[in-house]
Amino acid sequence: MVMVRGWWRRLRMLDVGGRRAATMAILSGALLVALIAVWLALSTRTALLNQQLDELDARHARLTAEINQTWTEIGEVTSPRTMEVRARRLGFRPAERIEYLVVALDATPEAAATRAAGE
Amino acid sequence: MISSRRLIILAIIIGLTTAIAFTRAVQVQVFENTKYAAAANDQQTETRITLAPRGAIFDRSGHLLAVSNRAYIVRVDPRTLTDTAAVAVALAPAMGRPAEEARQRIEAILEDRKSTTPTLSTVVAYNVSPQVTYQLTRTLRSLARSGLLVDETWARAYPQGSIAGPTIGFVSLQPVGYAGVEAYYDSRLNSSIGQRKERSRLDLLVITPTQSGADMVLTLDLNLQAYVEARLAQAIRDTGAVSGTIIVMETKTGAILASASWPGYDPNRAIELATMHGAGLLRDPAVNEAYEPGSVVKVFTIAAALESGQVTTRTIFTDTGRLVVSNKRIYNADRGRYGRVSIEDILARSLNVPTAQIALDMGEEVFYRQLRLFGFGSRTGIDLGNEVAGTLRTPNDLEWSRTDLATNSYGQGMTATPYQVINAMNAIANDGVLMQPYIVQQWREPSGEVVRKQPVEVARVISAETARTLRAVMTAAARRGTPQAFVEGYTVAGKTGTADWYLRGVKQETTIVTYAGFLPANQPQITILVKLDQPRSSRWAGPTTVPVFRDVAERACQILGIPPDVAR
Repeated sequence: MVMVRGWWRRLRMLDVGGRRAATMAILSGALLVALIAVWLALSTRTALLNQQLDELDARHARLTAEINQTWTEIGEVTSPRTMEVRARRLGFRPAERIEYLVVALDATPEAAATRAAGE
Repeated sequence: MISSRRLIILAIIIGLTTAIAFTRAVQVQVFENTKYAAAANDQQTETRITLAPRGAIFDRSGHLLAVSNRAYIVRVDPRTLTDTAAVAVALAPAMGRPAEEARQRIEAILEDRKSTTPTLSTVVAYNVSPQVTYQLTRTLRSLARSGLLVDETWARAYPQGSIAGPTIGFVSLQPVGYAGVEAYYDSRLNSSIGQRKERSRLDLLVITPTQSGADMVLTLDLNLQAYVEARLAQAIRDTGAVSGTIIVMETKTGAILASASWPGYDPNRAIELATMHGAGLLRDPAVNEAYEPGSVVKVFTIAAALESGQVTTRTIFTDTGRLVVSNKRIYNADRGRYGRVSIEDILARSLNVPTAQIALDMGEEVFYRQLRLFGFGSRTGIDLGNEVAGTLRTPNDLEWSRTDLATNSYGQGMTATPYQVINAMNAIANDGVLMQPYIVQQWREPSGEVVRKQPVEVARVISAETARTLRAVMTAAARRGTPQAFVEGYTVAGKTGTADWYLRGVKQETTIVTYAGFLPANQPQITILVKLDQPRSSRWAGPTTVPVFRDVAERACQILGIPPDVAR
């Protein structure tokens, strides 16, 4: 307190108007407080964002792991070997041979209609 | 009262001490400033490495072939390990061994490391699933005090097991791709390591985001691949062969639809197999091993002769049953003499003597230029790891002689990989255009961009006209020589090949047999190669490989929806 009074006295003794000096002092103080507030806000924000980044990283890794695990499970249950076992259990058997049905173009209903119209 | 002498001594001591302290301070602060600043920075900075998974691999229909799953690596720290028996009981499920065996294994590892790195931790279990790790951490509440360290990682999993194992390849723990697609596309599949460097929560220095690897889509058809592998296994059982390869290729593009090798391996167990039996077991003979292709090469000799105009389908040769070239006597495989023969007869009966005569008449320049054009003696460029080029001696090599010209004409004295042989055969099916075989058809970058590979035409090796003529000759020859190769409803063109088997330079009784062909012969869609090593049931390609070719061709037509000749 004594120090502040001394400082104030010396300030008033300077060759500037007392009111002007007081204004400067108040402004400097306000600026200092504002800077501290900004710094605190930014630091808090940085810490929060850092925390969020950590959480998002972890969540991303967890989701990727879950997706890949699901893919693996789908891959295993749809693999030809598993499918064959399941199909056989359901009574299916591999086809001995595949027959192709050859459809002559002039045997289609459209061709027959065209032919009839022509006649 | 202190004497002035004592005061002087005291002053000198204080002065010296101050000088020493000052000198050291200058040394640390000025001269070694960088070193200590860096050390302090390291001490205050926390760096965290983040890993993303390696890219996944799918077949052409989207079936998953390889993926990276969350897993854990368990290490034993010898400095903090106190109760080995208790740790072994907890670790047994993670190591996949009984507790007693796990204890012996841990003790053996620690004993082994005692002489070299006694304080470093050692991996005792890898690719441990999250469930097992969770159980492990519950059992041993405080891992650090139990002497165990657990690291998070991504472990490679192959849900199809051994299907296409040698073609896909495998990765080490690092992870680095070995063999197959995993090796060839290692850098593209690999994820980039992310990094977070911070001095405190409020002082984040560097963030390097991690990126997953690219996802790959292969040209393989999983259903066809599974069938081909099962058929190869049956052929190995039926013929008593020691190993074999089957490849199915899409004629127009060079895309590989199936590639099976026996013995194959399950990439899920690759690291274990490599540790137990050595990495040699984990090769893919389709791409990593060259062999003497035998009479399959006669087709390319005839192609060269047709292309150069030296012969036509009407040209008649006289087979004397014996030919002497630089003191080497050449006979037909059955030691027969067939008199007047056409190129169709040469292919149908697989005659060595007239084939060698054609090559000798053609001359080395034309013959080797054509064989080189077909891709022999150089890598095909297929996107699989560690491809070998095979050997083809030409007149530029010191060891070459005219005997080589004669024997090379029927596929002896030279080596090629199964991929080289099928690719050369495919050029005939593809109207004379040699394609670059490929196995990855597209990949998706982490940015989402999809990169599609386009089929690559390497060169026109023969004219379309020559290719058509040769296909007709091959079809007629196959109808006479290997009618078992024909699938009902489809025309087939192909050629057998039988070569002697050499062990450390000594000729053995057994052989290597091949059948390479394509269908439908008039409009080829697929090219197939079947190769068996040292079959016991017969030493010839006809009875061993041709039935396998037929079955694979029939199933491929069904799976790929290739209609028969009558429906096209």
